Amino acid sequence: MKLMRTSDIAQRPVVTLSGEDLAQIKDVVYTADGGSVSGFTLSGRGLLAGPLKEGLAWSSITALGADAVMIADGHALQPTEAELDTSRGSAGSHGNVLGSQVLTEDGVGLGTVHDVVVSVDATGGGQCDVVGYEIVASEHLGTQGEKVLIPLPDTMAVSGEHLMVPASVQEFVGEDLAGFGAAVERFRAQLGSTER
Amino acid sequence: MDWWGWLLVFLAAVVVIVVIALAVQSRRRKGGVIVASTPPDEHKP
Repeated sequence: MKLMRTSDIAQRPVVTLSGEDLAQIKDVVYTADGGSVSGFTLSGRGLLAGPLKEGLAWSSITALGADAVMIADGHALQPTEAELDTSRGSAGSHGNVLGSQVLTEDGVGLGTVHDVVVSVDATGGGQCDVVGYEIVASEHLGTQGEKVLIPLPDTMAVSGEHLMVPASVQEFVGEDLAGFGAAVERFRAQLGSTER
Repeated sequence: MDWWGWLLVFLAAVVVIVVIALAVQSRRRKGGVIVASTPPDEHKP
């Protein structure tokens, strides 16, 4: 499993196994209930191309490489569902998690989301879990204005203007992706033990 | 105004239009992280 920021995935070309360059990644779409990436919206290739009506489900991806997202053929692109568009009004600024404020359960603002960290099975077939946020820290974290990483629980609800996280994430703040995977595991283990 | 004055105005207008078009296009293409109410997989036939 490999950790990466969603900004690293955005704008990667979508290429078929026969070498056809069909589109590029626009938005990363993740499920409000499961904390995993369900797919991507796409934009066309070329300077003047706009957003496409077709989207790409995570299950249709054969490999997520460093330079391209690989799919079997053009049939992997499916029409983007209506609820995907309507959901844009349900979280953060215009449905975009980026820029939303992160609040703990006890009402402390930790910062605003700058990026989302996902755990990817690069060979395809596995899940793409949302494991953390990269946030621009508020004064409560003691590193105001700096970008830090906070882990997320296995499952979480994402809706409304604010993103809620357990207060204990403040003990597991990281500064870079190296070692952040271990912090996520420790955080989730601690969360699991306190829920029992 | 001389002909080259009009030419300059025309070229300046073209540059402004191109810059605006590129800015709008780059904004349309800029991605984000959005939340779906239902996973797309569930709607596959």
